[in-house]
Amino acid sequence: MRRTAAGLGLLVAAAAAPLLVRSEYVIGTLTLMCFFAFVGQGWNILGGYAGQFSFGHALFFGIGAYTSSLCFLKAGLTPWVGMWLGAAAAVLVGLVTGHLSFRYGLRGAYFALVMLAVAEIFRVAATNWDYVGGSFGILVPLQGHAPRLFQFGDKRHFYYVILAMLLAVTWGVARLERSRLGYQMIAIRENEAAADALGIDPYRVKLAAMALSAAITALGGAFYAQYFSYVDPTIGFGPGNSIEILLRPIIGGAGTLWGPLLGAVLLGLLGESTRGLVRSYAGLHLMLYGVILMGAVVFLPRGVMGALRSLGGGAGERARA
Amino acid sequence: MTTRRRFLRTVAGAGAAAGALGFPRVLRAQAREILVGETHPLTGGLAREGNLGKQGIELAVNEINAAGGIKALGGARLKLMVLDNESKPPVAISTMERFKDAGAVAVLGPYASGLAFVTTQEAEKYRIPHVLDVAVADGITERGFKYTFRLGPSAGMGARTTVEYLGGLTREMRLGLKRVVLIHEDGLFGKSTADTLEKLLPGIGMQVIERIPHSAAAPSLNNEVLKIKAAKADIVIPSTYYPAHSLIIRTMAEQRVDVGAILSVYGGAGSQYRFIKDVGKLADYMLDGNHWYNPKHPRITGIIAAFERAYSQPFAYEWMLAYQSAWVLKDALERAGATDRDKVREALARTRLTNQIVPYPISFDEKGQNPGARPLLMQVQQGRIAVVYPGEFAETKPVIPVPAWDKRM
Repeated sequence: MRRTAAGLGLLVAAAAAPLLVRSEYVIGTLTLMCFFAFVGQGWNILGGYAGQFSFGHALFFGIGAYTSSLCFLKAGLTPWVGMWLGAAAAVLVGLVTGHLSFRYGLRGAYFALVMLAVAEIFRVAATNWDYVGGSFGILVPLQGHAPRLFQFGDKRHFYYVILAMLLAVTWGVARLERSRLGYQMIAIRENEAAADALGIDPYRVKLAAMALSAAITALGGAFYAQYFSYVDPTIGFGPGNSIEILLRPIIGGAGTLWGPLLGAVLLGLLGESTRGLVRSYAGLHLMLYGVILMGAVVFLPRGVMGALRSLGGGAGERARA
Repeated sequence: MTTRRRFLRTVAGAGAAAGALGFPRVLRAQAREILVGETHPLTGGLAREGNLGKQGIELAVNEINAAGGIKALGGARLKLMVLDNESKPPVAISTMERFKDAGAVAVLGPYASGLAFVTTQEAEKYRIPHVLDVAVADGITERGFKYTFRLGPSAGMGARTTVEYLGGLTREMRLGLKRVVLIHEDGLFGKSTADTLEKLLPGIGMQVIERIPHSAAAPSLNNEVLKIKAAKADIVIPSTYYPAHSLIIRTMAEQRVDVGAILSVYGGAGSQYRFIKDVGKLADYMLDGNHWYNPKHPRITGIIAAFERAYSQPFAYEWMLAYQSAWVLKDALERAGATDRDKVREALARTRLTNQIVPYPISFDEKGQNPGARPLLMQVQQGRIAVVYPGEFAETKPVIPVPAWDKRM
């Protein structure tokens, strides 16, 4: 009961924030936090719950961003529809990549490298394919305030869209966590051989995780393309983006429902506060940010959620059971 | 690093702040402040260029304030709000949000095209006038934004004009150079420049016999240079960033690949004193069509000297364009006589500046592009970068065909 009340309170606060705050900067920062929590949650399904550490989620992100923007640019299709086509395309690519990796039992670093490599292939291909804008990338034509086309004159609308997307995906992952598929994923993460012996088909479960993860990340990519109205091969498929995507769930706690959200909030606050603290020396805030990040990785190997759980002792675990 | 100058400035600033606390009313009555936003990549991959831009704007604003601020506004001083966009689009967005919140009257920056796509869009949303410094991608002004102003030539204008210059030179000097090899990085800048050149070069009687794309991060360009050698090129046109550009020159010298001319368009190295410092004599005779100052302008020597004194750095066009952009805004503020953003935008749109340090008049078309902007053609001669074309700005005559590598060592 207390949990539900706290959740509801948080939700009301999040929904009311743009009405109370007049600062564009605060709204923008909240929007980016929600956005990173959203794509982090997408990564979390494959990298957290199923334990398949992907180092190339920019692959799905880029496919989502490119597909929805291209459909809009070339065929005038509204991104509200295009984003789902993007998700479908990402699922397709995810299944092929997943089949090749899981069929041959690639794990750990090898799987991470395969994902990185496939994302790089897409980056190089997008750079050299003029139809998708080549190295120039895609500028989404602006139509002013056109909600029908996923374009808003006011940032607050973008915030509400990503907040709704984040709520939906969090609800979905909460359901997944308690579902048969979710338990199977966790079993594979903890001990694949044992799960296999129990009759779980790791190949199929991992593919399912890949598909879900790809779809969510692609939807995030479509949102990004509309919000920034510009995407190029490096922004879309670059390794830097892959790292941004996995950073928040890792810091927050991979394989937990609240991990990506907590990670997004913490890193968002950390990034903005270090930026504000040491403005006079360019780069110092990035060093500070990096040091704190390293500290988090060293001292909180299971993320902030892991640390909170061990602090709360068995209480948290009992409540979950 | 805290230099003595910066330290003194900090002390002076603290003094002023203390004074403001003591006598707030008096100070406010004397000189109002106009908040100007500036977003540059001060860290990340573009940090070097971003800092040059920051220094250029700083120098201009100090000059403007020292000369009595904005006279039409009772001598109001410009106050810079400098934010680091870290070379990242999401951070660039947040810098624009903060300018909006802080009430900046206009925004200067952000050096790179990829960042400018984002910042100009935000400027349009918030109706904040945005004067760009370097960002050259054609697409930035093709969106027809009302609050975006670019005083310098776009990428397409740069390539077109440089090809015209090359055609003019070939005619005037009766050069028999025909066979061109394009070597370009495979990103946005290199590829689109090479595309434009391939279309335009036949118009001046030259043919592109080979296009050699390379990755900007390539550790060695031996094979690419061997291809140039095999192609028996008369002219090599590199369009690439600094590291690859200097690598190409070094490798060509090492392998003794002699060509009639090496000429770049917006070359990453051709018009940089850093290049001359790094490769020494090998930099000689390199030609580059690029942003540059008007060498005949009466004030230019003084400005360059002031910059070099303040920052202990040789001239670089990145700071020059940023410096100029601040003066364009100053002029608009004088004519607007108000800090209302829309009035400033109106004034910017009616800009008619002549006799600036850039070698062209400044005005803006309905898309915010300066139609008269153009690059100049420079050549490195005895360790100095000199304008060689067009004639009205030329400081010296170009040396073409360039001497063989053997004759230079």
